Amino acid sequence: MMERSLSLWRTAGIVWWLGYREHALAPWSLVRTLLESLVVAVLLLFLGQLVDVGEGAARVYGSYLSWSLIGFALLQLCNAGTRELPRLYREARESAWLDALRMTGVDLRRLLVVLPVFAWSIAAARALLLLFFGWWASGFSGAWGPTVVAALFLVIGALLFWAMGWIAGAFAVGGHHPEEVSRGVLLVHVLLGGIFFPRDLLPLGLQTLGGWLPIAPVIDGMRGALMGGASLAELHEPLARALLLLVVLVALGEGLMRRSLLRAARRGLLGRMWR
Amino acid sequence: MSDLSLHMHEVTVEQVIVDAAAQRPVVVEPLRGVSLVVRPGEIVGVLGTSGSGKSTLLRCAAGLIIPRSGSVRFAGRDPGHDPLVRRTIGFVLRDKTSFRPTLTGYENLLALARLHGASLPDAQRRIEALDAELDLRFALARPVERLGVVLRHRLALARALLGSPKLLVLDEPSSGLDPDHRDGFYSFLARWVQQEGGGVLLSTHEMTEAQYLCSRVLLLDEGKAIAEGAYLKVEPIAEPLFRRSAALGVT
Repeated sequence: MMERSLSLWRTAGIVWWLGYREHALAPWSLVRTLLESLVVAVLLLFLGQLVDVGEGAARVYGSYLSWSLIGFALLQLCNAGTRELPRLYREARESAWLDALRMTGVDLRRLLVVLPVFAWSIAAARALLLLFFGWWASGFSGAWGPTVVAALFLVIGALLFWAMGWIAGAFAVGGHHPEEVSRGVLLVHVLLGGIFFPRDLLPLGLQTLGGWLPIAPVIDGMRGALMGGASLAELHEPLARALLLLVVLVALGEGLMRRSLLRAARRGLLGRMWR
Repeated sequence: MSDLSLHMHEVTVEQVIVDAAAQRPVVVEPLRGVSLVVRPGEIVGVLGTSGSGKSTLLRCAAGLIIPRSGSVRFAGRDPGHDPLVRRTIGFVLRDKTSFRPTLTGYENLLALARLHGASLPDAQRRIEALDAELDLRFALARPVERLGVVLRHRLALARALLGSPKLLVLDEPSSGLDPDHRDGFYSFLARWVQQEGGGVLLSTHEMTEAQYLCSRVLLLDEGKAIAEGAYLKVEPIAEPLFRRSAALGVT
């Protein structure tokens, strides 16, 4: 056996394989996941007849379907970070599986980073599928430049949502049940983040609040690039907002996670000890 | 074995203090300044009634709990802060939730062997060797959720042995086993200590188990060590404790 810790990538590969094997034994869960995405996409097709996005901030955007699919694709990643990550951490903390993993000598922080890797890969696959559907609906600019800019915003978005999950996960590791709060945070994103309707339809106060939600600058950037064909220079405002939020959330998440891990290890809160 | 290597694989727990924690479903019993040494080739038993802190002590020794004060050393390093040291400790976790229940025993062991750092062929070879030693055929082929107590017990033991440990930590290892399998397990443990020269730290609330298996016994009560030594020395102090617990309806 090796005398040094496994690399992050190798650990992630092994944990991903475990998740894949578990899901391969339940293929219906994958089919259900894809069907859910398809149902929502079809619903958006109909909603497109009712919701007018041809005014205000969204006037440059073409079809509602492509417009809302960008938001829906990002919502998949937001859900994986905000809701799935703390749920996985709480489950791992309350089971003896985390103990079994820790006894292999893998660093605990590294384990926590890679534990949701399969859930993330499913969310990423769903997001890419939805974006492809949006491209097929021919609302996107096909040029390479805007596509690269959109991909940059997508990566920043994934990191932002991971940081949100890291914050919620810190509470889960510390012995709390943050899922209820996470669900609320996700709902706020759905209602105020401009996913299914433009934010400028909201009252002014809510517009400001919605603009500072982590999903907002990412959505603005991706829509601007994919549907408006905007360059990175034109999208400097949402980019700056996204990067600022990223720095703040990563720093906050890291601080909280460090504190929670130390506290949990001291109090034996990682792993299962039923009375 | 030389004195140096004896020292290398000795686990020392010195004056550890762990605070109680009860954030359901996690419950940690406190420890109040407990010390313990397990030398290679020794089976040391931690005896005590339910809630005396046995599991907490074992988890401290394995590095899964970091004590508030005191120290834990294995091969001169702290398993609580050094994950690589934990790799050389085999903790027999028997809880159902310590496995991925829908995956087979083989898939569980393969993933954990690879997390230990083994390459795929090495991991496969290691599992084959453990299969030959512990007769894991059925346990490897079936999903863990469908395994009975005995097969799951063997699988847990195999998992603890994946990294060729120098110390085995077992929390109430024989509970739920019928007498035949219990005897087989005791024989395996004695053989392992003799062949591998490793140390064993186990917790039990069965006095016969402590008497049969352990070269030394540490008696815990409410997080404090109240006696230590050969079983015959500890027995007179342990017996009234267990009688009192039985009268209160606690094992």
